[in-house]
Formats: sequence, C-alpha cells, structure tokens
Amino acid sequence: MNRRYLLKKFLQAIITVFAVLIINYFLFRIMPGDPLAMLVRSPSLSEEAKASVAAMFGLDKPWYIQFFVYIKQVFTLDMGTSFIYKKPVLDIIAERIPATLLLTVPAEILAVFFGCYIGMISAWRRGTKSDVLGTGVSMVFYAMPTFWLGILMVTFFSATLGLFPTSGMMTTTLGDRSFWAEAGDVVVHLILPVITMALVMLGNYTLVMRNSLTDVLTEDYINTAYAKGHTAKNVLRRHAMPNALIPVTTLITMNLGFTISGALQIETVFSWPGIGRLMYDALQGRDYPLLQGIFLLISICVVGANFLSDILYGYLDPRVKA
Amino acid sequence: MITEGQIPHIKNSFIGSFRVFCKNKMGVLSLIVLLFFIFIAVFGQLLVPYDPQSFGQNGIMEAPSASHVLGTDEMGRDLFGALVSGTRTSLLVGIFGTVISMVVGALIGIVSGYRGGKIDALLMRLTDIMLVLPWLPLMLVLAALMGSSIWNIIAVIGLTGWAQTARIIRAQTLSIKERQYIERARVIGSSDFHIIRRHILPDVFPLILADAVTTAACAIDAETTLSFLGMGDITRPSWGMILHYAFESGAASSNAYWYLIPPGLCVLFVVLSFSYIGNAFDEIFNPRLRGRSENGAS
Amino acid sequence: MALLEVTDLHTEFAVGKKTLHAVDGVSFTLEQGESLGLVGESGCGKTTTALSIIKLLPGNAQITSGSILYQGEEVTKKTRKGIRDMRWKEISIVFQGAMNALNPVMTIGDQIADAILLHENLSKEAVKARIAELLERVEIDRKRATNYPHEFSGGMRQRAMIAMALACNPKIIIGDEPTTALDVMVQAQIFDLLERLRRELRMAMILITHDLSAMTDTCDKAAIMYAGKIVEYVRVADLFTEAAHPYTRLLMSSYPRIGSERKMIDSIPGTVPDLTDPPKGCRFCDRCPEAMPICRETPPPEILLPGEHRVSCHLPSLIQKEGAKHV
Repeated sequence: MNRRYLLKKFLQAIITVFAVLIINYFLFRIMPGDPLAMLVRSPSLSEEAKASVAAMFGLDKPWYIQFFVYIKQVFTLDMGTSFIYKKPVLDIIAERIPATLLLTVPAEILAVFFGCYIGMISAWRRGTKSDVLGTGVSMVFYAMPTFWLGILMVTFFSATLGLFPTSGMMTTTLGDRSFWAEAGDVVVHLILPVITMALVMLGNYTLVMRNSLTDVLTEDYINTAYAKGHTAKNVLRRHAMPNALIPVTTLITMNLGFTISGALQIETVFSWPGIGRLMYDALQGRDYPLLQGIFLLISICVVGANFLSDILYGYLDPRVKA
Repeated sequence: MITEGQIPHIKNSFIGSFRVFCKNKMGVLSLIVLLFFIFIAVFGQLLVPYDPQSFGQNGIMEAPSASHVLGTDEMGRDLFGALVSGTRTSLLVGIFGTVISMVVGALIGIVSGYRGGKIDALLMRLTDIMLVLPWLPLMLVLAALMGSSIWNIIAVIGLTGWAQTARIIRAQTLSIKERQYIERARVIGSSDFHIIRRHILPDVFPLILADAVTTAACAIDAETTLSFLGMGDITRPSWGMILHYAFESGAASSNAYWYLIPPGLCVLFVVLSFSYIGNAFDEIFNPRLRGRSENGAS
Repeated sequence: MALLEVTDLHTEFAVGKKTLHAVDGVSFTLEQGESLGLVGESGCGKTTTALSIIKLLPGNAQITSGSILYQGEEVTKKTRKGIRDMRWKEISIVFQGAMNALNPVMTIGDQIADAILLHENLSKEAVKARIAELLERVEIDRKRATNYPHEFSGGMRQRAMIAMALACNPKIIIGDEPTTALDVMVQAQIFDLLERLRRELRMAMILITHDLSAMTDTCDKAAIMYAGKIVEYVRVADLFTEAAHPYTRLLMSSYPRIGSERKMIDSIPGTVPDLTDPPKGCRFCDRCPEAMPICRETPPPEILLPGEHRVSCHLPSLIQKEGAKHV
C-alpha cells in the first residue's frame, strides 16, 4: 500500500461526506414535504415557537444563507432540539450509543466467527451434505426479514418458553440493586437480541467466505502448495485462507450499513434503547431534527467504515496499487 | 463482421443457458415457487371468500378454523384474505422497484462505460456515494418525507437500489466496447445510440437479468421492512404491513402464531426463490463455478 | 535401475457417470540426468501422466492400474505421508502460467522458504542463504526475495518458479508447459536456463509441451502422446530423420523451427476423440492421412525399432522395416 492510494481513498471519503451533507440538506429542507416549512405552517404551534424554529434554521433568509447556517450547525455539532424529547439531538443520540454497541459488537463477533467457520467448511467440502446444510441454513437466515426472526424468537423463547424477557434492556421494577445484579439483568436481556442479530448477519459472512474460498481453491497456487508436499490442512491454513479472508475482512468493516439496518429492526422488535429504536421512535413521531441527526451520524459512520475497509484492503492485499 | 450467422448463435446460447439452468434443481424449484406466488397475486382474490377490508362480523384474534383457514386479526379481519392481497402488493412493489432500479442502473452503467472520461468519473463517484449510503435509514427518511403511498415506496426502492447494477453494467460495457465489431461499427459511422442499442444492450442484457433477480429479492425485503417499520401504504396492505399490525397488536406475546408466521414465510419463500434463481444464473454466466472439481489429492 | 520407471499406467477421471480414460497404458523410463519430452495436443493426457507420478491428481481422478517405480519403490502403493515426503523433495514441478502458480499474498522468499522448511530442518539463516543462492542461480537479485509475485515480470516470475522448484534439490523436475503466456524471447531464455541448470545440477527432467521445436533443444528423448497413449517414443537426435508415426510427422510439419512465427497445432484437421468412449481401433485414424481399413478395427501393434525407438502403428512400411520387432 502506498501513500497515493491512501490519499486517494481519503479524498474520496471526504467527497462522500460532503455529498452526504448535501443530500441531507436537500432531504430535510428542499423536498416537497419540507418538514420545517410544514412545521412553521402548523397551526398547533405558537407564533413564538414558529419564529424560534424559523430563526434556528435560518428559514427567514435566502437559501444560500440557509445552507451556510446548516453547514455551521453541522460543524459545531449543533443538530437542533428534538421535538419529542425537548433536548438537544446530540445529547439524546450520545445517550443511546452504548446500548447499540452493546448489542452490535458481540453479535458481529459471533457472526464473523461462525460465519467464516461455516463458510470455510462449506467451501472445503463443496457439494457434500455439510456444504448443502451450511449453505442452506445461511441462505434461509440471510433471506429472512430481520425483524421477523426477532419476532419469532420473542414468541418462541420468551412468550412460549418464558426463558428470556421479551423486551427492554433492564427489568425496571426491581429498584436499587448492586452493579453486578444490574449487569446480570442486562446480559439476560441481551441474549436474545444478540443471537437474533448474529444469525441474521451470519448468512452474509458464510456465503462470502464460501464463495471466496471456493474461488481461491481453484487457483493454480493451491496446486503448487499440494505439489510442495503440504497436507490438505496446511494448504487450507497457510495458502488458501490468507487469500480467501481478504474479501471477508474488508466486508466486516464495509458491512456497517448492513449492521445498522439490522440493529434498527432488532432494537425495534426488542425495544432495545439504542440508536435504532431511537430512529424508529423519531420516524413514528416525525421528529425531524432527531431523524436528521441520526441519519447524518449513521451516514458518516458508514463512510468512515468504508474508508477503514479500503485501508485494511490495501494493507492485506499486496497487489493493491493506487 | 457481424453477420446473420450470429443470430442462431445467440439463440443457441440462450437455449444452452436454459439447459444449464434446468440442471440446477434449486433454481427450477424456486422458479416454480415464484410462479405460484405470481399466480396468487393475479388470481388470488377469486379464492378468498371474504372482503379483506371488512371487519366486525368475525371474532377477534381467532385461531385458524374451517371458516378462517388462517384465523383473524385484532380487528376480526380474515388473515387468509389479507395474505392474498398482501401478495399482490409485495410482488408489485418488488417488481416495479426492480424495474426502476434496473433502468436507472443500466442507463448509468452503459453511459458511464461507453462514454468514459469525465462523465464516467462523475457518474461513478455518484454510484460510489449511493453504494456507501446506508440504504434502510435512507429509505426510511425518504419515505417519511415523501409520504407513504405505494408509488412513493416503489420510487424510493428503485432510486436507492441501482448502484450495484450500474457498477456491474459499466464493467461489462467497458469490456464489450473494446471488441472489434464495435470499432468497425464506429468506423462505418454508426451513431452512438445505434451502437448501444444494437451491440451493447443485447450483450449486457443477460447480466441485467441476472442482477434483476438479486435486486428483486432486496426490493421485496426492503418493502417488507419499510412496511413493518410503519412506513408502508396503509391503503394497500402488504406482507410487511400485516406483520406491522401483528407486532403492534402484541401477537408475539399472545402467541398468535397464525398471525405472525404465514406472512413471514411468504417473504422468506419469495426472497429465497429469487436468491436461488440468482445462484443458478451465476452458474450460467460464471462457468468457472460449474462442475468445479474437488480440491487436489493429498 | 532406472530413476523412474512407468509401466502400463492407467489414470481415469470420473466425469458424471462416465469414465474418461485420460492416460491409457503409458510406459516410459527416465534415467538420472536424462530429459524426456512429453509432446502432444492439449487433452492428450500429458499433464495427467506427469502428475500421476506424484499423485497430484484432482479428486475425481484415480490411477487404476500400472506401476510407477521411483528409485525402485512403488509410488502407487505409498501412503499419503510417503507421497507428501516425495513431492518437491524428490520430484518438483514448474507449473504453466507462473502468474497464478505463485501465491499472490506471500513474498517470493517466503514461498521458497515454505518449500524448504517443509522438507528440511534448517536454521533461519541457512534458509535465507539458500534462497539467495537459488535466486542468483536463476539470475534474480537476492534482494528481490522480499518482493511479491505481482512486482515481477512474467519471465521473472517463471524464473522464480524455477528457483522454487530447485529449492529442495529434487532429482526430477517436471516442466508443465513452463513457457506458455511468455513472449518468444523470454521463452528461449527460460528453456536455456532450464537446460543449463539441469546439466549443472544433474537433474532428470520431464518437459510437457505441445511445441516440438521447444523440446528438440532441451530433451534427450521424446514421447509423443495422442489420446492417452504414447504413439511414438524416440531419441530426439533421431526425431527428424526417423520419425515414423503419421501424427509425429504431422506435428513436425505443423511447427516451423524455433525463431519463426508460432503456429497453433490445430492446423492438423479434426479433434482428439472423446476419451470417455475411445475408438476401438487406432485413436488417430479419423485424422490420419494414411489410415487404412484395419486402423478402424484393431488397435495398432507396438513396433520396436532399433535405437530405443517405439511406434504404435499399422503402416506396413513400419511393420516390415528392417530390425522391427512386434510386441
């Protein structure tokens, strides 16, 4: 990997972030259903409130001033005040981030580990029963609507078997408890959503790993490795996997958008108090400042993750040139 | 020179492709499942004894019985009827969303690959940006702002899903452009439009088709998710919408499996079918995957 | 005792429900330091013959009968471990198209070290010294051991491949079309290098090629293969004067000598027969300009001619030739 490649990818990321800012601006201000205009016209709002909203977004000024106001707000991290929560958007989002991480990080780790393992076995034993089973199960989980799997899990494990709580992050009725009791409570609430999320993401990794390794196994250098006298296991471990893992590794970072989509649905189903559930609530309540803040945050994170994935790719694959 | 003699070749390759497809058991099975759902979407209403929107005269949240094979919902509506009319909405959104996505993607891909230069650079930057944007949040925001009519949802799905297609089509266009007969056509003064229509489009078409199948799976999944999250068209209930009501009415905790399972299974079957057909297409267009021998002896 | 003695080798592929007889009764011997060319069109079983020797066959292929004696030991009866120990250490391969034969994410040095450490217990320094020595032998700067394959030109990659093949001082080196996809100048360089190294290191070589002219400068003996069988086995020195089989003669006429433009071998009309259902008579008869009625009915006899020369053909001029013996 060289400096030119890095610079190029960095510039691309910057351009994309700007594009996201512009798209965001257009979405929330110029569209026919411009929420702020609607808000200002809304009869239920007092004249004072209307004036303050208009002033905050610069609605009384020409569009280029509005755009400038908007850019300034973004860079000062001033995302406005939530309609529902009556608090600064940034604070609300910040409160919710840990919950989302608590859900997605373990789920991602489980999905990557089991997905890669199943994919590896499937490719290695291509065409056998274990391949058909592994690939079939992965395809089913991949094709299943995420939220539906969540609902099924709740119905079966919580409602029918009563093994896990149906929703939320903690049992709130229990009052004061020790830190460990609380942590244990969170873990019990966490199990079902994490498994659901891992299952949903697993399919993607399985299939990518399987395709990648299947391709690698047809390459001539695999034959060379056998000709050298390696055992099948060593060919897989030392020659095939380092090549096959390149696309999978970059997928992990690039998949953040996919992970967020999953989190959005699972947090909704399980009432998990993270960013996803927050977005759902913002959508239901048409809380536009909050919605805009979440959308910006998610988009910028995804762009960042893509940049990270490009760097990782350049680092892992010596063939990458600028 | 391209001569008449090439036409049977194209035909043969089509028949050959069909033969390869028929060898893929999952592909054929999936095609049958898909045709079944299309049949239901078109003629299904004839099978339903009740008006799907009528409620009141039936029991609420009834388990399946002889009069209501899939039970009733929280407002006493017949769920079998809802499922059948949901089939029409879901497939409609899936198909139209895919068509828009394909048209936009193919157009951008072909123009980008054929023109090259600055237009290519610009369009590909745009494509990259679209690829990076998180699709579900973007769709939700768009749907929330544009309003949730079925045509808006189709537009939203179509306009957010074209980027991958554009990439694939561009790459193929680039490789076709280098072929000699294109050069010749250009030398004898064929217009760009003519070259694209007569030479490039026929060659990228199989790829568009293969990609459409994958996109259709995504589109149906997207519609289901949007509707579930409350962004669907309430006048045109889809599978996702049924699940939305099921979830909101607490079907999960009251164990109303008849309310929860059928719509999800329908989505699962349709999306899986599209995926398996996509796999079969992959084998046709990527012969390396076909009859690949097992790994070497050890 | 010959270094390698292959007798009546049969290797078959399972293709769906059919069996493809890729190698169908092949016999040859290879002495220490000797080099043999396996010549023929693609799909004639040359590569399968060579790879059978170290059992480097795809999962659907199997040696069904015959014997392969390497230094007096029966290879077909060896255990998996026995075969693995033999690979590269005793018999190594220079694959075709060195672009993909080298692992793209490992440096050249690491790939050579990978082979050495598999068969020998050497210290880090000793391995490093061996790599430097090997690279210099193939005229690559030792500093380039830290480069990746994509940083090399096509010819350099093939030389690196040769260096890797030499890593464990094998007794036999198999060159599987080692110069495909290289330009003519580089091809000549690679052949010169192979030939020089072979003489210096006293290795035996099996060179698989469809290019007769490439082989004449490099090999001592030639085995011309057609549809899974050796149709003619002859000393290269005698090839141009004594070549007897119609296929050999067609091959020779379809190839101009080195230096002029390459012509593809399909200038012989027709194609290799379907080896899942080979013809019962001579396999070449459909394309043979001298075919007789008997050629379609009976497999040709093997005729031994003076000077280790073997031909399988019905031609009366051969059968009645002076000194000819029938088998």
